[in-house]
Amino acid sequence: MSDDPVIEIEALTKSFKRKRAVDAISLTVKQGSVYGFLGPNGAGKTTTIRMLLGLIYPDEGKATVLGGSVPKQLPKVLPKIGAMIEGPGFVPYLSGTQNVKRLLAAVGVTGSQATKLAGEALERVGLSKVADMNAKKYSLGMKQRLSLAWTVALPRELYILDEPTNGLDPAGMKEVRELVVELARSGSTVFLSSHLLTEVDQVCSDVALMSQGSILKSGTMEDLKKEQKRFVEIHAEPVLKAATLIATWYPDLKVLTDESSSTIRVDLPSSDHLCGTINYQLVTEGVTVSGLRVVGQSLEDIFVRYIGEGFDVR
Amino acid sequence: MFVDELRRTFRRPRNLVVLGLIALVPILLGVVVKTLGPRNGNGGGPPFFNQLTQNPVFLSLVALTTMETFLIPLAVSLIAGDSVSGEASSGALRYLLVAPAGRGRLLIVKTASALVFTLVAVLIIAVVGGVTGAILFHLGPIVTLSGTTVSNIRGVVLTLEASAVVGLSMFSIVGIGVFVSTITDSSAAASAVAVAVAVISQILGQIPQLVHIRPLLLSNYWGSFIDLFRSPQVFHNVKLDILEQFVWLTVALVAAWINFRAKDIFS
Repeated sequence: MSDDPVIEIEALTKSFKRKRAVDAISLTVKQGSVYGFLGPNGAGKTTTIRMLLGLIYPDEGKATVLGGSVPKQLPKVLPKIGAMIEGPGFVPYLSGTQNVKRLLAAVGVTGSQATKLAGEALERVGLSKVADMNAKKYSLGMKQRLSLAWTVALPRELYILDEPTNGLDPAGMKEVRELVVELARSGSTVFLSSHLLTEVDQVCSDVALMSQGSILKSGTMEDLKKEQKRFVEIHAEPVLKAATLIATWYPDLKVLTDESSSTIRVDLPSSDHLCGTINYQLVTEGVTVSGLRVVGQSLEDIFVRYIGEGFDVR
Repeated sequence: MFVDELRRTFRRPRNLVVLGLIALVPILLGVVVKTLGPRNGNGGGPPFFNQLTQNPVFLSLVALTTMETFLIPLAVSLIAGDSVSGEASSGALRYLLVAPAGRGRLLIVKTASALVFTLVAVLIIAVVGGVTGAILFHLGPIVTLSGTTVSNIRGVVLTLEASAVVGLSMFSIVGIGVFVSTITDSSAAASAVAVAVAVISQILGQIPQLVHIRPLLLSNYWGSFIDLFRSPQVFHNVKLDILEQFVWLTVALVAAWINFRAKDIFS
């Protein structure tokens, strides 16, 4: 994997009627990475993506995509990008095949070559059986797949996927995740915008978190996961006695007690041995321990920590 | 891309309905005149109306004359107004631009296809008029406006020339339709504006106080094609009409380009 940036954004800014949709954001996407671009709805992700693709012109700042300055060098840059932008876009009275072929014709691919590529692309996204049906009769998920088919119809160096799993059922989501992995495996870079943490967690190597027009956090997924806190969850009776004992033994650790479920939550420092020690100590003091497990903080918890409540998570 | 766009334009059900409806008008005219007789009105009527039953070409010419003021501009507006806004409202515009189709190229292809549609639509009226006339009426002499007689073949050639002029006369409307469709995502609104411009232009042309600006009105030389049916043919107004149309088309397309070139696409 080379370290040449595929996307480099510096202080990119865009305002709509005095409201800053994107506020001087900077980020770098390395070649060959699967870059998760996370944030709640309305964070400014789509505006950023549209600026990268020349659909929206930035007020200030600089964006370089695949070595070309955007929007100045768009004609040089766009042919190397496959993009799915904010949901489906298609001609309703054309069939799936005709829709893909139409976009292929826009880039000069016609005739049998276009038929072949459209067929392969539709098969790749599972639309072969309805390829000849009018697109207006497609379900939301099928429309989403149709846009995805066009996006992957041609081999590209960079794929920008804006919320690709919107409207898909769980099986469809899984297929899209597999497709993303497949695209990355072929050596392409994937820039994946999503508000679904599980989606990003499972496929991305790098991640940026955007909220209210700003990038709050960016880095590799590995680095981010190092921030995950762990704690031990103990089911004990009598719960109050157990909690008091733990607090006495370990005054530095944060202890939370839930009497109704007889559960104690203790923040865990790096040492794993503590878990067994607490168990032993409690039993020695006559406390009945019916359950004890180490729980890692989820990616969701980390992001909620950064951006607060209101994040659309699953 | 142009061929693909053209194919799509002529396969689109809505556009086919438009073509079908405008083709009905000359048939309707022919049937009405055949049924009620040519002289059952109060006289008057558009040019060539009194000769309608004499030769099939006259049904074509009467149809073109009566439809040039509203129905043809309406049909043309529907297609031109949909050119960019139709893509925007369906969400296909962003995919086309990112494909990349190129903004300038897209505008040219869309305009060219609307222009071809216009010429074909007018030609359909002429052809359907001719065929209907041939079925309903007899092949009599073709008397020009100057009183001379021309052969049937010459009559057909003249009718085709006339339909080409009528088609070209609509280029300003195409330009305006395309321009407005770069402003709004609603193709209905863009079409309505284009057809309104055609109507307003004709209303302004009727106001005596505006006599000095008349030559600037896009509809000022509409109907000039009848000068082709003089002997010898008079091209003065036809040339001015064509010049006017190309000036309006160019201005509208420049405006469309200025608006569309760096427009933020939210659709």
